Amino acid sequence: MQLAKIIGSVVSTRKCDRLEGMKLLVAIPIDMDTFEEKGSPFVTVDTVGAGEGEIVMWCGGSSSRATEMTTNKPVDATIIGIVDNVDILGKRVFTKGAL
Amino acid sequence: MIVGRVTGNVVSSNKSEKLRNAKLLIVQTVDLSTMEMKEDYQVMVDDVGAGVGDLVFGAYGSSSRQSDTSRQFASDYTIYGIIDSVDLRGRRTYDKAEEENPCNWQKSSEV
Repeated sequence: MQLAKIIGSVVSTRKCDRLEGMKLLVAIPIDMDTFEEKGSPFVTVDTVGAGEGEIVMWCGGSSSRATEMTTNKPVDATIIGIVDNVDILGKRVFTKGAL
Repeated sequence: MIVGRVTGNVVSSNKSEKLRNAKLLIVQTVDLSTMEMKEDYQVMVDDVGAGVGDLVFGAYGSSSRQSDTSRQFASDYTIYGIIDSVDLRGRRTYDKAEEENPCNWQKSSEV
C-alpha cells in the first residue's frame, strides 16, 4: 500500500453507473521520508470517510476492488484507511493532528 | 484513477475480435494541481461517451474491464467518467461549464 494526502474532490455526473454514489477524492502521494507531498494528484474512491487534509492509506490494482464497497467496480485506487500515526526505525514520523 | 484530457482517437479496422465496437480515444495525462497536459499518451476504451476536449478519469488493469459494457474488451485502460468539476484545497480548480475552449491546442484554422 501507499500513503497519500487528500487534497480535494471530483464531481462527475456522467460516469459508469457502477460508480454511482461513490465519493471521488483527489489524493497526492506522500514522500515517507519527509511526509511532504510528492508527485501528481490522482483520483481515488473513498470507503472510510476520509476528508481533505488527511493522510490516508490506499491500495491499487485489482486489490482496490477487495473492499465490500468496490467489489466489481471499475476502480483502481481505493482508500482503505485513515492514518493516525507512523513510526519508522523507532521514531514517530507522523501524528495525525499534530502541527 | 488517472485523470487526462481526450485529445484524439484511434481507428483500427484490423484488430482483435475482442475490440470490436470499442471506441478508442487518445488521452493525455493532466496534472490536476496545474491542469497542464503531460507528454504522456494512453489509448483508452471509452465507456461513457467521452469526446475530444473532455477531462476524464479512467481505471487501469483488470479494473478497466469492470463494467457491463467494457467487460468484453481486451483493454487495460478504460474511461469511466467525464469530470464536471474539481475542487483542490478549498478552491474550484476546474469547471467544465466555464471552460470556453477546451480544444485550444487546435489551431484556430482547424476548428
